[in-house]
Amino acid sequence: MSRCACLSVFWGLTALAFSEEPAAVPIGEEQIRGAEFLGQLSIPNTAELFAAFGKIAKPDWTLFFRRQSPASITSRPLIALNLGTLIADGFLAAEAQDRQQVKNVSREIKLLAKSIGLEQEYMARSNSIADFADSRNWDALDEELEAVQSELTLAMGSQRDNELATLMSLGCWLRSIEIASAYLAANYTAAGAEILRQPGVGEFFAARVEALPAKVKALPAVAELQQRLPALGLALSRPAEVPASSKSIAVLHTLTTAMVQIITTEAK
Amino acid sequence: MKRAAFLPALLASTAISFAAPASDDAAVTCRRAALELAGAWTNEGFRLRERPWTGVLPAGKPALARFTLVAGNRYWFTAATNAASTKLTMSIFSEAGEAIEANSYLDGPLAASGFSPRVSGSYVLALSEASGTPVPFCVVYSFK
Repeated sequence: MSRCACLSVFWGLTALAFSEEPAAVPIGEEQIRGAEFLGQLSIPNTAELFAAFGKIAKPDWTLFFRRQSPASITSRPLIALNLGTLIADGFLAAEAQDRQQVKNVSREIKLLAKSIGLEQEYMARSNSIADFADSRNWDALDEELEAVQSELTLAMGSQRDNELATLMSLGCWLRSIEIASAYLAANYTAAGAEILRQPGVGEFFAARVEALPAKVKALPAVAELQQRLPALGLALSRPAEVPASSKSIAVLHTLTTAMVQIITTEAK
Repeated sequence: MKRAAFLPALLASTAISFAAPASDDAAVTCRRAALELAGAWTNEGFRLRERPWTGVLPAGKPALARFTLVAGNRYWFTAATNAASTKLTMSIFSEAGEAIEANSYLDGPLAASGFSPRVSGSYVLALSEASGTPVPFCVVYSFK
């Protein structure tokens, strides 16, 4: 059965089940506060963020590629942070629909994964990523990149390296916000600024970093990031329906650029 | 009790409720059913987030989870349980606690809500079931 026919059957059979539900009664502050934060799933992924910008403009995402060569890093926490930034770079390359850049980033992810003993976990994904890039299946590539993050997270957990998973996730989020704020700083619109609001996410990462083992928190890069996270959380938590000003976006960009630099320069 | 009134009543009567973890088998079955329904949105160009939210719905209480959504995107949250005789209900709330108007699909053990957030920020998804016994569930989310 063709895809169109399948869809028609689906919509035909289920039309009665669809409705505009009457709005439920509001929930209270205690319930809002008590709603479970589901870690990575409660945070928009990089593709989700970029997709929203694609609705209001046609960003040239290639302008935000990093041209660095793989750093030689030995500290596992720094490797995890850098892995996270590279996963965000993978989403960026997919959004820019640049096959070669996808492969370049994938190669760097593989090198870092290898250096913390997770090369095998990445190998199969690495082949799929190359295949999806070659076939220009960008949506599938996004899903594969998120699967990479999930798989590495699981593998880190099974190695009892949960702190690495936290740092990888933090690195990915920071680089995503850096890219988005860099785009907005150069192409400010109020509509664009409305996209970049993520209340609670900075606080989530601040709490996760606070819970890291003392020896990890003592690393200069991690200590620097921890110090700057509250300011970032605040910058992303302005009141709803009040777009950040161009000055606020510039401040956000400066802040996130500095945080990503801490990750990459400490590594070298 | 009428279904539309069921979730508001639960929300009014309950405090905080985290979903307990579901068994692996139940999580897989529920996820398969959720993905099958979410395939309809995927065919319309929605991209699926890789991780699901799985657990056991507490008896007589909704499970509440927070999602940070991006203005301009459109979202579908799709839920399924393997308890065929129950009815799932889903609602979405803004960070101020106001109910969000959404397109809903309710079909016994399947439920989905779709909407486009006007503002980026934190949203609360409430999922509940009508049988009054704990049931496993899975929620997947798609965006476009």
